[in-house]
Amino acid sequence: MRKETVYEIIAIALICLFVYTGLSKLINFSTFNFQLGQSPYVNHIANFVSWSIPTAELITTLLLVFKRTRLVGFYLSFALMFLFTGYIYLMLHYSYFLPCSCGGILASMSWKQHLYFDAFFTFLSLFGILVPGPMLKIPKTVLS
Amino acid sequence: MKGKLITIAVIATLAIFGLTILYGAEDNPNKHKNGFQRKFIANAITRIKVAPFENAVYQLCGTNGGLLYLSGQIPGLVYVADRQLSRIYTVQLPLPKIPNLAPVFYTVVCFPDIFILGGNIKIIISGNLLTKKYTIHNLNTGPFGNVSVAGNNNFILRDIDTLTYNALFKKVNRRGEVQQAEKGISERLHDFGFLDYGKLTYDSTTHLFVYVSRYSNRITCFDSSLTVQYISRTIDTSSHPKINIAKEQGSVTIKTPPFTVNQDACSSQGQLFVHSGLKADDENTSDFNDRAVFDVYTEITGAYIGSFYIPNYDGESFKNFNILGKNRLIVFYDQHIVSYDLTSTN
Repeated sequence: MRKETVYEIIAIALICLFVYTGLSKLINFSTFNFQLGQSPYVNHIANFVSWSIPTAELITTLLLVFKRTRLVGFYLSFALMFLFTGYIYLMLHYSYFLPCSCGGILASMSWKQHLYFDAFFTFLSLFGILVPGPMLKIPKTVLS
Repeated sequence: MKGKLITIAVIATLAIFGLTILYGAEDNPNKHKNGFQRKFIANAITRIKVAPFENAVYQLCGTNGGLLYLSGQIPGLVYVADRQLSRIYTVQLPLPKIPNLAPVFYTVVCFPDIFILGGNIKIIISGNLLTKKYTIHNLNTGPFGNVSVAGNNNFILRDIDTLTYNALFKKVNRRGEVQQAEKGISERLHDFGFLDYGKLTYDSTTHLFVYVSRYSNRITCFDSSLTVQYISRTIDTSSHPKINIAKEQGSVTIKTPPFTVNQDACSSQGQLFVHSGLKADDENTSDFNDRAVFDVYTEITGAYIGSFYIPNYDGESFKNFNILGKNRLIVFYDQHIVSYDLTSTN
């Protein structure tokens, strides 16, 4: 498989993930906000987090859609997925209370499955950063 | 490539820094002193047997001679094990698919009789594991939890009154008829039973029921006529539940992370064993985090006897436990059942 194809597949997978999770958090905003309020780590900043996470996910989606901004999108995607993975690890190993995980289709996953799922997408984002993408053709007029 | 690697390292460092701040900001009572001390009565508890068990078993639902009856996620499916946990097989009451019976159901086996009580759909299934016959009765109660057998095929359960939202103990018979309601055991909190949620345990040698609150240190002991014998406290100082609930359109949910004072409890042969969620001031943090701590009380008076640790098993989380007789502790982990000898705690 060509590197460009791999690059495209990774970007599409991350776009699908962030569109789905970002929109489902906004559509079920009150539920998401309520669930964050049950988390021992973010309950005191639940309002801020419940807006900023879906916003960051949708911004990442936009950055991943356009080839010029895709690398920045991969960086942001890596940052988000790294944070999510670390957060779930903290919840699983150190939290004194484990609430329901999250809304949408991911709700059917256990916290442990969620950890593996997020770790997989963290590595996918990392791969997207490290695999050289297709060279952009920059007009000569810009260079001169 | 070097620039990319540096950027990745910076992002990862910032994320770890952010997570560290979140961890530091967590208001976990076990990070602070809790104002009590434990007296340890045994240094090492002997592990007798480990039985791998990939099927999710939740609890012991009956004993008969040398056999243990265990229930899991499927109503009517009972796992039978000998006391050495060396042989495990299943028996099943062939129930039809009953919507919403799982996951809130309680199984009681008084072999060959089996009773399955559906807490959400308010039914009681009385069956026989030998003949495989069963009958289904509706219970004249609200949704309920905390089922315990009360002898002569009666059950004690914690019923939620659908008008007042109070949780009250009631005695029902095998046909689902309410025989008796409690006399002042529970506080009227209009909370669907959330604030004083706990574990009900029955000791067939003393014929006493003990209810250990999950979010406070209250211990309530009552007899089979639902009359309070005493109200006592576990050794910690958490007399008020640290839990906020949200009432919305006839339902109640937990609003902020509650702190669990008592994780689980079981009484046997005059002793009450409580798996505590609170670290004592004289305990080492890693000792507490890597093990489950049990506090032992005299069941008749609620007086504290002492404590002991059970180590975590191979990274698996502790689900619940039962005491058999005076000296056998059975612990249910994610994929294993482990038995321990408690002789050294006596």
